[in-house]
Amino acid sequence: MQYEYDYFANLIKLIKYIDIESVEDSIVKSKKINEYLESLSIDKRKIAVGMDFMIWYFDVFSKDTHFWNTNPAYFYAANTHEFGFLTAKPKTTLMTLPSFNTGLLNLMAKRSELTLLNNYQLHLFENFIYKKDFDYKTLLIQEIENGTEKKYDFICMSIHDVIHDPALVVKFFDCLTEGGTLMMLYTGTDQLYKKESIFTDFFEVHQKLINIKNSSVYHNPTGAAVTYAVKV
Amino acid sequence: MYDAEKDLNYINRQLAYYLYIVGLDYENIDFYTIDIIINRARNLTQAPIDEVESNKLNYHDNDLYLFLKNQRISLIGNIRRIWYMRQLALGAIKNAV
Repeated sequence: MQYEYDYFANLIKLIKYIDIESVEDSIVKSKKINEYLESLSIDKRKIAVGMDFMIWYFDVFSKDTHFWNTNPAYFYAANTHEFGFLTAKPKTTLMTLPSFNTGLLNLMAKRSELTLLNNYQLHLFENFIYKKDFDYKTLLIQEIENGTEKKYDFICMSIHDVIHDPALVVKFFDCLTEGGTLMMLYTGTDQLYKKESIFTDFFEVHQKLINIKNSSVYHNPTGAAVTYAVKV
Repeated sequence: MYDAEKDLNYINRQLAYYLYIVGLDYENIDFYTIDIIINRARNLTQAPIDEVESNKLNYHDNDLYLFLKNQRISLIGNIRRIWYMRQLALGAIKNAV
């Protein structure tokens, strides 16, 4: 464990961010959201919530001394996200996870015309994070299913937006302008890098992107992994 | 601004699909618990995971086993996630925070 700590502690010395969310801000945000989630009558037994990180995220990140709040790997992992956004130089953007990636969201809001997807992330963002310091539009996932008139230069989404229906990732891709970039976060699992990879839904999502005629697709396995698809 | 009703409409449509897969009827959604749904999913995708992981069975590289195992992971994971999102949307409607 000490090796990993030293590894990431030194890696972050090589990075300079514009707008990463601090660990302190993340803890404050996560505590507020977790308190709200715990007030709901949600079944939190293991059989009910399983190991899906979308479900335990705020619980874990609200704990001051948890591994992920004391490990610089957390701070390092966001570097590929900001890089992806800056190099795409987008004017119009769509984002689906403002409560998880709030630092990146702030950067996107400052430098582009921002649209947020109508999902629980938006609900948590509006109620526990948003300081009304920028404007944004909203978009229904039903509109993505039906094909949007408006196109986006850059889409920041999670694989969890489409993992229940892998074909939906093609609809997200269709929302890109020509030359646009889709950056999909949290695209790695242990199984994805083993022989059984081809039987996973994570693999299927990547195949859907690869099979699009005018796509180029890249996968960065560091952190929780990031997949980029560019409309060429 | 977040529209919980429209979010819930989408989530319910996805949940109806998964309920159909495990042999349950969305019309009876109010009578189901997550335990009922997950148990149905487990029975649908039976794979000897415990036996393989404890090395009682040597199927580690068996394609059929790996297929069944990942179908099970996918099905159960998706049901749990959609169920959780449904609870969040219902909570937003109920609390209107």
